[in-house]
Amino acid sequence: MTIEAVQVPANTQASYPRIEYNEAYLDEQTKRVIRRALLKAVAVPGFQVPFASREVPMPRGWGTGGVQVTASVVGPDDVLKVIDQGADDTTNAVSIRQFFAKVASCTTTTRTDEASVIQTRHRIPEKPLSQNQTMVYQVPTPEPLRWLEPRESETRRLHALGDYGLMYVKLYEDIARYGHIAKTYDYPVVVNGRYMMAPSPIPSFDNPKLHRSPALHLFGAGREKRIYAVPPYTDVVSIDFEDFGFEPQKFSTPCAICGSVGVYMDEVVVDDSGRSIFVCSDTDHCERTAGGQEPEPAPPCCAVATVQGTSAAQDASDVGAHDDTSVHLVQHPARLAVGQPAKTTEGPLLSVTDAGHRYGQRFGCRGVGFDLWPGEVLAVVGESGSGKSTLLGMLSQRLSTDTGSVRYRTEPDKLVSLTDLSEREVRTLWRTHWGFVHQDAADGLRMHVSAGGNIGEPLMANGWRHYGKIRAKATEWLEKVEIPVDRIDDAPATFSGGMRQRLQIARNLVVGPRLVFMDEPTSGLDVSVQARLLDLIRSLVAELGLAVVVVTHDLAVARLISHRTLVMKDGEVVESGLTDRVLDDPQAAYTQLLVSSILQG
Amino acid sequence: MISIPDTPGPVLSVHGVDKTFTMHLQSGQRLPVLRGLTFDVGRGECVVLAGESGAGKSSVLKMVFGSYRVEAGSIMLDGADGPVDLATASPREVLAARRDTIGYVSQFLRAVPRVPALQVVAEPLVARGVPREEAHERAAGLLSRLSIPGRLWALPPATFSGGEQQRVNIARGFITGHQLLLLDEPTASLDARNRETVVELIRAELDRGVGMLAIFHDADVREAVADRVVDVEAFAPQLALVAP
Repeated sequence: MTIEAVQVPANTQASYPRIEYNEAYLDEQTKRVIRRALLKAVAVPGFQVPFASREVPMPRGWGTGGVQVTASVVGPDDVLKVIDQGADDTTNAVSIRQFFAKVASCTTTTRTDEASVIQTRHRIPEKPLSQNQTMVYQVPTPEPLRWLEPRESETRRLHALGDYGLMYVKLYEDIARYGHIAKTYDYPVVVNGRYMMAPSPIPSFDNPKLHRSPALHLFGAGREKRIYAVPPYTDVVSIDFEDFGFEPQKFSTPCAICGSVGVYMDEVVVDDSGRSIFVCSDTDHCERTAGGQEPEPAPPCCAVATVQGTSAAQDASDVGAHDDTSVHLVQHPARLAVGQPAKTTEGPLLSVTDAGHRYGQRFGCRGVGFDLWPGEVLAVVGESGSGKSTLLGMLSQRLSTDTGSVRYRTEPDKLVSLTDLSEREVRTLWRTHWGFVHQDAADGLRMHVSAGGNIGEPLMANGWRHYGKIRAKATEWLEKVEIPVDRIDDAPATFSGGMRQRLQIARNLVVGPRLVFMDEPTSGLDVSVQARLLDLIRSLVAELGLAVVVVTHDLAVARLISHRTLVMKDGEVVESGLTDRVLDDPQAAYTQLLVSSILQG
Repeated sequence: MISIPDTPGPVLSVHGVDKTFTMHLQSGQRLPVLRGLTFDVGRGECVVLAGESGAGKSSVLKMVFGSYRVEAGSIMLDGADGPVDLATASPREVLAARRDTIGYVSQFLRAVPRVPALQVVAEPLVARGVPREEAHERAAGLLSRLSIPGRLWALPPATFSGGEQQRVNIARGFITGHQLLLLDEPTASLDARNRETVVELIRAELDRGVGMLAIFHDADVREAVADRVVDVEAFAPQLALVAP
């Protein structure tokens, strides 16, 4: 328990022991901890700073984050206002205001212009804020990517790398489904050109008020233990598409009480027949306008700024700015001409020398060496447990390279050892140069995002911000992989196995990668579907000049689509060479066994 | 159509080639097939391999094409990218030789299921960078000449009769006009009229200067086109079986 309770001797008239709390309830040490988090949050606008969220006398989810922030910043000179969805008179607002009136020496008010600290749940007051005001937001879910990516470790990585393509998928889905961006609250913003931020669930109506606001905005999420901030005069830009701009909500009817227009409205049901009226959500504003004290002009909603290509541009500048040893990756032509064959380079694209991966004391695979050139398909065959998938994992940097080297050509005259690349660079490779087709399409697709969104996501991750163009590209690729175009808005969860696999291939190839890994792409499909898929892979590979490493246990697959084959057994390569030579004239005993036991007829 | 260079030497020169099959599944039994195989194929020359069934005729074609490993000796190809020894060439070099220099009409057609016949035939041209329409036009011409009716062109050859499949295979081998053509019994399952067409095709290619290495069981065809016969049995090893 962190409360410093001082028990006063019961020498007064009360029979209860009276408890006196430390100023503003929290102990000084806790306040210092929170202030440090706040300073960091102000220094890195929009970044979620973890903090040790304490117990306060209300349940988590009732504004505990906001209360802790307010307690840490409020002082005797402050005037505190507390609103709940704009209203000063709801239970939550009243109880928090009374709480601070009791435990802190500040004064309280309901007037926006008098307040120096305004704690709020889900609104920004209508009256424009000024330089010496501080907004404190109660935040339920601080992570803007949460509903798209469930893993906290992954969302943190996405923030660190500025990899925000995923966020645009949500907007794409809205437009595909409703014809416009349907999100009306907690509309994601980019702060200071860097971090994607959830502006707590304020209505999108309030988003423009954050942009270059003279006030300081502090966000506290007590249950999620995060604090973040928007310092005064910071760019806060609501994300959108070039052809579907951000549009804050608009209300056509004036307030039924005060007649205000251009303010945020609440719908209030007034009788049993369900008749309703619209009134100002900001009660202070409504009272003052109705009382004729303050005939206010509509607050400016003009500062609507939009952001385009933030993540990708930021990405590029960050690599240069912070990572001196970085390898500057080739600016891939994807953004200019997606789907065009990558420029062929002189020399192998992937060069593997004596590479191995160890699981503890055992080698999963070892002594693997080969060169892969653009336009070449290399099959890795062998029975299960032979190390095929380990090899694939190692090549694709999912598993470490414990011995030897795996080098990749990032530029026409530059072979780079993959182990020397930073995580950011490897991810950039994944976004632009590489693809991975999983055996189970569910691992490679977002099963509840539409087919168009699935194909569009890599484009958006690469900075595409035009809905129409993204959709046209997705349509083109659906045709290429022979999925009926009218299924573009259906989720792959409703697709057959073969369609899912073709969708996964489209998603992987849409940005025009140079190297694609495939892990048993056709197993688990019935034979007729397999043949169609193999034919598709073969023609796309030839058309796009891809280099492919395909792992399969099916020698027929290897024969149909690969130029060369590696045969693996017990983690080692027992035979390699031209596919037809390996299969028609196998030299190793194991290959002969494989060929004779599988290729009958 | 690939132009044939006007160089004097043979397009293919096989020298001292050995081939033994090791059957690991039969306790490592070694089956020697050829010893010291040596012959040339000149430009515009049709060399026919002769010998009993099992003498290793097809193995010779497969070694030249690269599907079989060569144990000893050399197989020099005077290819589009200069001379290359196919016995020791890297997979990339073999693939390049197949694309640019060697055409192969195998005994059986092996194609990806579902791919239409026209596309199967046009593919070697497309792989060489010929525009798709032009490649399809040439493929259509060849298929008509080999009397494959137009209504079959859009169907995958797997559904065809044996003779039709064989003609698709022939069209595929002849379409590029490669400098060296390997023929493995191309006329085996053809009727007299189609056999005649194939002989005409072969003659036309020989006149262009294409070198051919062929296996014909059909004596008429052999006599019609062969310039020289190489008896593979002459290169059979003395011992039929060698203990491991």
